[in-house]
Amino acid sequence: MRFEERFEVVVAGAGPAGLMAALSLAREGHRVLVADRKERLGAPVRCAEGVGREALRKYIDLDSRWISAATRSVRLVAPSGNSVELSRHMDGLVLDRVGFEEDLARRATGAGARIELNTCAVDLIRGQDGVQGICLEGDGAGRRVGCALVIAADGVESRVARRAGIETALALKDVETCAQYLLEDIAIDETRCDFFFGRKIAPGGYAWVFPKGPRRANVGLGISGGQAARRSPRELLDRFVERHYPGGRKARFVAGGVPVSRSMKKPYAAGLLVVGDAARQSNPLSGGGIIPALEAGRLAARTAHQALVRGDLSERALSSYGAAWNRSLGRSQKRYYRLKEAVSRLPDSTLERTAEALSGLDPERLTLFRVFATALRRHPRLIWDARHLFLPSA
Amino acid sequence: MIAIRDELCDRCGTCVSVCPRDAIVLDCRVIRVLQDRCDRCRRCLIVCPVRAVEDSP
Repeated sequence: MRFEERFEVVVAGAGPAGLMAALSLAREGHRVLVADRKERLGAPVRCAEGVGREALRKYIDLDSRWISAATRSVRLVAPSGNSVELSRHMDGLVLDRVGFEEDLARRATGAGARIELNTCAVDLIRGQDGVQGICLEGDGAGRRVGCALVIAADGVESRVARRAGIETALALKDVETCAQYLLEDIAIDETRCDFFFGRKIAPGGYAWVFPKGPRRANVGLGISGGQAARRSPRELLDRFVERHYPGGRKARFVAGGVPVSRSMKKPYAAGLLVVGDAARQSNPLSGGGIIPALEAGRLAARTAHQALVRGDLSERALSSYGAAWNRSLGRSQKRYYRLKEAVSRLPDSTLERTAEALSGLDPERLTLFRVFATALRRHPRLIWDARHLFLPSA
Repeated sequence: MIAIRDELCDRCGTCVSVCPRDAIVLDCRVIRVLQDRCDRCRRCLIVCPVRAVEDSP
C-alpha cells in the first residue's frame, strides 16, 4: 500500500494522554505525528480542570502560566447545606487546560513530534499482523499516513479502538453526562473546591464549584447516564446556578461525558495502544481524568519504545502496557469503581447523617477515609476499598 | 428515526461513547447518525447533556 507519508507512531488525540505519549516517544527519538479534530489545542475545555498538586508534579514542572487557582481544601455539601471540610493532603490546582495543553504540545514539538489540528482520525489501515497506517481527514480532504503503531487517545468517544475491534461502548450507568459554566462575578472562596451531593441536585453524581481566579469559577454538574432520562445535566445545572449564584455571569458553556467505568480490559491490540478516557482510565468515583491520562500516556510510551526498538508490535509485545497500567492506577481504579457503585446508591438521608456526624471537625484532621467510613458504615467490606482514598482530580 | 440537531449539539461525543452499534459519526465538521446501523435503542438520546438528540417516528 502506498502512503503519502510515514511515521513510526501516529497518536489520535491531542489531550493530556496523547500529548504525554507523544512527548515521551519523541524524546526517545521516534518519529511521531499527533492528529486532533479540534481547531485549537485544549479547546473547548470539556473539563472541570481540578487536579491534585502533588500528583501533577510527578509528571510535569508546575508553571504559574497555566494555573488558574491553587486550592487548599475541599468542602463536601449535603443536600440540606450541612457540610464537611477537609484540608489535610488536599492541596489542589485548577488548571487553565488550554495553556496546559499548549505547554505539553510545545514540549512535544520541541522534542521533534509533529502536531496537526483540524485533522480527524477516521479509520485504521490494518494488515495481516497489525496496523499499517491510519486514514486522516482534514478540511474535507483525506489522506493515508503509514505507521507501525497507533496510539488511540481520542477521548470518551473512543472510535479508533473500535476500528480495531475493541468493544468500547459504555453502559449508561458507567458514563457521567455533564454540563458546566464558567461563571463570573460570583462570591467564592478562591482556595477551596466545593462538591454538592443529593438526588435532586445531581442524581448519581455531584455538582462542583472549582475556583478559576477572583470571583470566577467552573460551576458544573454531572449525573449518571443511568439516571438522565428525566432531566438533563444542563437543566439541573441551570437550577443549581439559579439557587446558588443567581447574579453570576455565564461566560462560557460546555457539555461532555466522563467515563466512570472499569478500565478497558485489554487497552491494546496488534499495532495499537489505547490511553486515557478512550481506554476508560479515569477515576470512576471523582471523574478525574488528567492524572490517569498522563500516567497512561507515559506507560504506553514506555511499552511503545521497547516494541519499536525490538521491531515487534504484536499484541503480545504490547500487552506489557496493560500489565503496567494494572500495576499502577488500574488497581485503585477497581476500588474506586466499587466505591462509586455503593456511593451512587446512598440515599440522601445517609449523606445528611454523615455531614451531621462530621461537621465542625477540624479540616486538618478529617480524612476522606473517615467520611466514606461514616457514609458506608452499613457496607463494612467496602470500607477497605476506601483506605487509600484520594481525590486527585475531578 | 434518531437524529441530532446540529444547532443544539456541543460536539462532545458522549452519544458516541454509549452507542452499541457504532452508528454515530463525529468528524471534524459533521455529526450524523448512520440509519442503517442504528437500532433506535435511544441511549444517545438519554445521555446527551444538551438534549440535542431526537427520536421521531
